[in-house]
Amino acid sequence: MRKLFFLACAALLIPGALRAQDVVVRAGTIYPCGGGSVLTDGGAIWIHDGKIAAIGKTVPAPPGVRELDFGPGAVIAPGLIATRTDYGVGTDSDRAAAPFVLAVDNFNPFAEYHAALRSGVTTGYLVPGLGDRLIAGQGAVVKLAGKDRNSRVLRESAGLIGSVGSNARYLPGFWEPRLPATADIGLGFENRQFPRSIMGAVIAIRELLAFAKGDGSFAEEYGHPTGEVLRELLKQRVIWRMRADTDEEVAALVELFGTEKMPLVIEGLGFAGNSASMLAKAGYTVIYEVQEPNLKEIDRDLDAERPDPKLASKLNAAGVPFAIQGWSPNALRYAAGFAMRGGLDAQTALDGITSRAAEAIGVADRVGSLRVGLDGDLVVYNGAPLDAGTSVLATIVSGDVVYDSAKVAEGLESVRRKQAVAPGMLSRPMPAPPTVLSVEELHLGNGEVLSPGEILMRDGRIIEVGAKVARPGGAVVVKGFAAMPGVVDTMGFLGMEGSNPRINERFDMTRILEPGDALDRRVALAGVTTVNLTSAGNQGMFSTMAYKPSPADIDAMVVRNNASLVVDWPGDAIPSLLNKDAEYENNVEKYKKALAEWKEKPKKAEKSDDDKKEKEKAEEGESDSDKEKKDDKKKKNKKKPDAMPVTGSFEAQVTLGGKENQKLRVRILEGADGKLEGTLRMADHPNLVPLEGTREEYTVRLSGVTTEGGVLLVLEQGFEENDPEVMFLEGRRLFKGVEDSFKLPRTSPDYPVVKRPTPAVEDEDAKKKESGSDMPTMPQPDPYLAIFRGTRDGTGSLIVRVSREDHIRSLVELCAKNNIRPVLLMADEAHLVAEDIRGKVAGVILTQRPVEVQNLGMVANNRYARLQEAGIPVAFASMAESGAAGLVDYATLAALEDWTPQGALRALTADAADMLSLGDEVGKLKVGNYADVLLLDGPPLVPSTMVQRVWVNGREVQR
Amino acid sequence: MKLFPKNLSAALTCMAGAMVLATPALAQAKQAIKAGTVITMDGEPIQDGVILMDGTRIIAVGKASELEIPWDAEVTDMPDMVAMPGFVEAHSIDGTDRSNESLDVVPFFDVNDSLNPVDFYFEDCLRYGITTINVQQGNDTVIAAQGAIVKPVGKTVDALMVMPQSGIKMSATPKRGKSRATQAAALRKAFFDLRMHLEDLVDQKRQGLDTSRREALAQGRDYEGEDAKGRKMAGKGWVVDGLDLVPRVEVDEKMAPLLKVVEGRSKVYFYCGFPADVHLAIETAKINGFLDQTVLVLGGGCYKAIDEIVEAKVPVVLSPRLVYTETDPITEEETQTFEAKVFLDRGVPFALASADSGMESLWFQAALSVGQGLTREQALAAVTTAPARMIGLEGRVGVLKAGADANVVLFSGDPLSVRSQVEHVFVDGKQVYDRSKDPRLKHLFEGQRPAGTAVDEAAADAGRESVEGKESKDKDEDK
Repeated sequence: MRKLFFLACAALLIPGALRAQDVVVRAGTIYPCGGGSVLTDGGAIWIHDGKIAAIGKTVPAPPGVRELDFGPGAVIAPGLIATRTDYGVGTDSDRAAAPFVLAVDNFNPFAEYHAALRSGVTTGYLVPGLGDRLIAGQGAVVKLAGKDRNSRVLRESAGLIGSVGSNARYLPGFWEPRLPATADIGLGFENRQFPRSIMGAVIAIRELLAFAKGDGSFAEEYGHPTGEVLRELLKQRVIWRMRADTDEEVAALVELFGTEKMPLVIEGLGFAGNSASMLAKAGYTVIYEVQEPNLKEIDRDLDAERPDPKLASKLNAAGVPFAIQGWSPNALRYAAGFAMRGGLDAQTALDGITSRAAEAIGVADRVGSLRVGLDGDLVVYNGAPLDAGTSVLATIVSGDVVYDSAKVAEGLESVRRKQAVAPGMLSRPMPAPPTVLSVEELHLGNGEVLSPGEILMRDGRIIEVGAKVARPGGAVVVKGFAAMPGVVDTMGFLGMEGSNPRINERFDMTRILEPGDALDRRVALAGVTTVNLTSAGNQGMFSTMAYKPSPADIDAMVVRNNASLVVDWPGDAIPSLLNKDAEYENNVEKYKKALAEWKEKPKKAEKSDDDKKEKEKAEEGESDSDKEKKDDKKKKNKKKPDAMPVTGSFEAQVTLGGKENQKLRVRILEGADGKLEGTLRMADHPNLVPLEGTREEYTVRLSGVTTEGGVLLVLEQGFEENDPEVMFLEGRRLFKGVEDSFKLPRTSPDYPVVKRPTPAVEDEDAKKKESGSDMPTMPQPDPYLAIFRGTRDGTGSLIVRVSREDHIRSLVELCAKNNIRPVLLMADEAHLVAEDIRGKVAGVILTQRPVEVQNLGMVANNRYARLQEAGIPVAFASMAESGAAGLVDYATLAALEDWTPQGALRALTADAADMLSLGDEVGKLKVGNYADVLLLDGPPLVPSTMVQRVWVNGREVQR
Repeated sequence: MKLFPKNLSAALTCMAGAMVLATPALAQAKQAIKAGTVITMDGEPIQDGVILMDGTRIIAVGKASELEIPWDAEVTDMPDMVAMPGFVEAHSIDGTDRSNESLDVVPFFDVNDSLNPVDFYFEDCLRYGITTINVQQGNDTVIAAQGAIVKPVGKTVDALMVMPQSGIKMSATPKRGKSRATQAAALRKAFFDLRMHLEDLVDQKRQGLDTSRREALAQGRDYEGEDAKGRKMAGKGWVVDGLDLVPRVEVDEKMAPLLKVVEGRSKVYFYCGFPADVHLAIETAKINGFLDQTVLVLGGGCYKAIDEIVEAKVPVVLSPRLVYTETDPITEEETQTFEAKVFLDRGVPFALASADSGMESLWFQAALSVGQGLTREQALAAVTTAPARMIGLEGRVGVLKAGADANVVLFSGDPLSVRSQVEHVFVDGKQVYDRSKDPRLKHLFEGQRPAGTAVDEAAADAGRESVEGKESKDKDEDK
């Protein structure tokens, strides 16, 4: 009697002696699944020796047992069961039926299944290969974490797994070399393999069953030891897990296995929308697979049949026992959520990836639900398991914590800290962990309030704002009463350290920034996260820099250098700016005109046109057949390929200055905007010449400066007629007053980036003269004019110091005429002319108390309130160094009388940012803005409320 | 440029020839090597020791003062040098023309047919003091050819041979294009096929279908000879009853080598590239009863499967990368594990393997291991006695004692020092290497071309010219 060792044999080794420690896990809610009732008001699970010893509101664990309390917000559910995994997958057997391939051999107990454990998957079904065979082999069920191999293998053999789906139906022929090869048939030939159709699959299974029963005539066709192994497995009545995607495939399987009376689990079912009742009648368990959203596939054929999204609900309604699987183990929760389409309830969906999944693969006696006696495999979530936005806090297998999001976050943080202090490292810190602020009042800054509200911050920016936001893995959740955007100080001197230097436009203000400055941090902790900085000593016209007092690296500190231009009114600053602006506009116009004219200039082109005409005239005399050929050629010419980037090396032996066979090589690198740079090597000049230029369609213009004067290349891009892949440049060179024409084929499409050519000469005019190129250059505005012009497109702001009513009027009038919306600074009388300036100014900043007391103290008039009421944005400026730290209290006080905290909040945040044209960066809790957020212990801008914690660029400012 | 004066090239020819050619066999073969230190690997090192050799064997090792050197022995006196047994490479895939077969299961192939005696590898072995090599087929296989134990001396395969068919190479690591499951299935199928074949043979005999006997008689072959006698099957994992009915010659020659394995008559070198492969290797060996003859050839990181290896009591050849580095996925901190220490601590016999045939040869691996925490004795044992035991030549190679092969390496100093060099190598009692006459080192350090490669300068110049001329012509044509 032949013994078979293709059947998985019992574990060879003694199970590891390592015993898990006892542990009690607590959370607010426990979903036991598998029919157990949900514990909603706090519960605990005692895991003893890797198994669940007790579960309930309280557990009789002995004192001193390790406790893991995840808090009332946490939810415990069983570890997820992936009924199909891609772990250890290599290839399928060459054979159509290979019941002797054991998936358990694919199990790698030394691999780390980090991603699965992070998704909450604790048990997986291993498929031998891809499973795309009529019989791919025997599956196995393993745990994805644990101490030793044997205790982790739940089932060495979980029965046969195969498919009648289309993927399994087109196998290459099977070939095995004959050794030694005989003279008559050589090394043998390929045998075609079944099945090609569903019918073929049914026949093949019938034949295999006959083979198993001893019909040796199939030995040749299906190979050894298929029959022997199958016989043994049939004797054990192992379950067949067969994949079927369409109604036809399902029907064929139900029919076949019904007549053969063999146990069956059907997997897949994506397109089998009408099979529910048939399956219910047959009583087979089903593993329903949710497909990966495949956009490309939809793209290919919009009308193609799509999987039925309501299938799970239909199966449930028909009473078919089913489990749910995703296309990947990490997609289980998505799959379960997807299966709920059509009305399936959440508990059944969760069961589908836990208890029902365990049943479908035959391990319900070990895992899949939280019951006394089962393995202590569970997942702790920070919300309902199938809710979007919920993430896994911890995954526990046999009582051991195998994934802990807090530990991961801690590890990342320690790395960050290390990198921040490591000498010689860049000071740029790693991004902070994603953080969720969950508060009862979320003040967005622009007047809107979400109650309750949450924001998600990540990588320094606000990712999501809403009543409930996602909680990505590793996210830190912070709860509190209220949150508001960080405050914007529209003008301050923070960081000037008491000195009042005059700063002109040539000074780069980012040079005075000091990352990690203690004073800066104190101001940030008081809630001021953006300061529009200038020096108190500045007079006349000067610019400011918007920066953040707290981040640890300079790049993150700068919101915008040259954010605003500050000028006086009345004065000649604005008229002179307007003059310059007009002049600049004029220059630009001139430039445009010059450029347009310059394009038509090349004389040669006209000449060649004439030549062409002459040639054409000559052609008219030619015979018809010749003409036809020419016409053909012309057609071909018309088909000339589109102009292409000319990056590459062009080289040829050409005639230069009358001398033949002179080497000329041009290397060009084309930028995205058609700008060219490169080098020129020519035989009649000793040095390598750096080139700059442009390409417009086919025309390439390059110029460079040499010690012997400028050199200009005007070239036309062309393609070889017989091989349009080959590009060449044809044109002329102007050098030392001589013009040479030549054709340069492209010898290589690469530009060797060894050293970039040095930038061109500073003096544009001189360069122009030297190079001999008269190409016009784009005029550039000076820095202050640039800011001034930036007020029109939202990249700058104009702050005008003006106080008197009549001055305000005249200023606004002048600005409106020139399409400029200034910010009025120190405009204490602005409220008096509110009606006149509404819509014509970006905002008003007062530097005195906003409240003026009138009528001998009988009336308090809040100027800010008046302006806001009139629809004019207002903002606060500290005009101080660390005094900025008092800005929130100052605004609170201002809001107390004759105004509202909401109005003051707007003035501190959104309106301030908007008037500086920084509204898309700071000042608002808006998706995409910097994550500068204040957490408050009460409603904002009331005296009793304190700023509790502050985040700048998504990173909490440490006290 | 004149590199070689004409009168020198003739002299060079002679010198280089001396290195390759073994000293002519003397009628009287007794030799004595006197060395400042003799590390015997069989007890404490001997100061001022003598190794007496008679023909290809060592007849005595001892202190110079205590051992009488026969009057007729040729004496090599090296008072400044250290004598060691030649190193033993427990597993190598070098020295063959190609290391892997494309077919999955080929136990009927023999590495003999693939050995290349003039491979530079063997020359390197001598240069670094390796005198015994177990050449096995490559790791990208299921069941590969039978290997051979060779010495790195000789111009024919026969001359190299120490022990032919020294064992079979198997691999638990998936061959290219296979998964672990299909690899395992292929391994199992090979033994299943053997068993089917044996059972069929027995069935045929039992049913009187003795066609091969009739055939042999008709052809006049000696069917009743010694080879033709049947023998009871002696497998430990499984046996086929009645195999003694079948004369052994009738066993298909494609199956016979595997039968040798199952019956415990052949070693198996089982490659495990990853810790997950160890289980399959041990399971296969256990089920088919050849665990006793199995040596695991490990890849990096296999120390993780130490529990299973200890349980199975199999010796291992370690990965040439002695230190295994892992990176923590979160903190990105690196953990380094010196694998030999793990095996040492758990009492698993292990041998070191060369990382390459040159500088990172066995001596380097041993020296590195000392740096990582092995004692000198442990490190030296891992390249001499331990591999010798593993390949079944315990007491014959890797040791200097009476009865052992006369394979002696003389180092200029401590064999584990980077400053020491192999100066002389004796294999089977013959001096086969002398560093001072190593033609390649001469070429490297002194710019002397090895004999036979020096060409007539005039001819060389002419040749160069003609080549250049041709090139310039080509260029012209391009134009």
